[in-house]
Amino acid sequence: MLSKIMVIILLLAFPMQPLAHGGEVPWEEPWKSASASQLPKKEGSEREASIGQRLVGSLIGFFQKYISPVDGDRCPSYPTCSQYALEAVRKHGFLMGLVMSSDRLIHESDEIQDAPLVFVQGAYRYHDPVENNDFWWDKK
Amino acid sequence: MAKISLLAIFFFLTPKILLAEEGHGRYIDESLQMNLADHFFKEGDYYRAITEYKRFLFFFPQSTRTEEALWKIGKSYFNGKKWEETISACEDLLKKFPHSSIINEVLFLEGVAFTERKEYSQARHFFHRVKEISPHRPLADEAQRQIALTYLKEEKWKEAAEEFRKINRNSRLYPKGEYIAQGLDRIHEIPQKSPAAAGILAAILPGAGHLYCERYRDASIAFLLNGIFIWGMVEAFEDKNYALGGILTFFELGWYSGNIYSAVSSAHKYNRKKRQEYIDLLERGGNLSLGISLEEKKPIVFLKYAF
Repeated sequence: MLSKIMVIILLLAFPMQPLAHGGEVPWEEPWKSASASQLPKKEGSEREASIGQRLVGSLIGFFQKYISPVDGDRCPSYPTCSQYALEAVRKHGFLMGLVMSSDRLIHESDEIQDAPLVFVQGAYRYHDPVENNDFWWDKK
Repeated sequence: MAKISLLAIFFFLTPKILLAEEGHGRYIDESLQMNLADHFFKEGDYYRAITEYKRFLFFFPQSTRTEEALWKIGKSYFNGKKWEETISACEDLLKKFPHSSIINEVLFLEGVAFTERKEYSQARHFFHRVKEISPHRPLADEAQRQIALTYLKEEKWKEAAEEFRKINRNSRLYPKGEYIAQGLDRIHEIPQKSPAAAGILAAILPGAGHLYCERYRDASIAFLLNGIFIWGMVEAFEDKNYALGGILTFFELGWYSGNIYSAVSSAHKYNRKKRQEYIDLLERGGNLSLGISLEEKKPIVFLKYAF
């Protein structure tokens, strides 16, 4: 009887497990001056995606999940090149997104001469968002 | 018996000890609470300063210093670069004290917060209100300068120059404003690259557009990438390997269009950078001005320094 009660208690307690980790949440300083959370919101994420956008999204998702961790982090920019491609495709559609992604891969080496440094994901990176490369035609 | 006596002593004395402790305790009054908040403010700990100013408002709602606390909340948010909250705090103050003696400062702060949010039209509305309320105060001149700066940020050079020229001639801001206005009149003289030329050059020879925009590393990458893929494509089709040729063509189309886009974009970035450098130069300069003016028909040589 006792063991049954114990099992029931354990089963009931199981869903509460995440709460037990409450104390492990790191102390966050109020108003961090420079962090990724203060960087501009990723655009286009709320739009309904086309087939091309979803295809690119899946391919980049696969790359980010399985290939990039093995291949290593080599992109010096923020957002990373794959994330940039994802955001460009989401914001401007399949074709324009791909053109902008090619542009990003071509212009990376000279861009870092002027791009501001930001501290994200534990390292300093050159801030080169989509808005830095579509400002001359996308005035939204 | 002894135990009972001890217990009696304990019960009789305990409240007295507690009361004595209470008697030596410290009461927080208005002044002390405000001082604590000011202490955090001076230390640059605006987050805690706001908490203490809010505590002040909670504990002393009838205080004569309510307006001061609300104003300092707004300033704390502003110094903490929380623009939206600054605007809300200023609005809150103006709602509670519509005839506030610091209405100018509040409106000015709200204007600057809107400027930081890149809502320039709204910002100008507040700066104009500052000017209307007290046209002869130094803050009105500063508001005028802020109006000009919003146009500058929008890259509306003509409007910016006009607004800089509206700064009161007797203001210490005038010499610098005039200097910037004169510089803006000549902004079209700064070197610019033609985006169309960059695009055409890139289309003729990949990398040439970047070369034109003085991006030499990008030029070599664009040239090599396109060259290798075109070479591979030609070889594949010559060997009748159409599948490989098709794949390489798909990728090459991406590189080729990316190269043109990148060249056009580089020209725009070049122009933006040069304009910004010129504006920075104007903003840094113009502190010192030397001139001659005629006052009461007597020529006066003047030297003005804005700081």
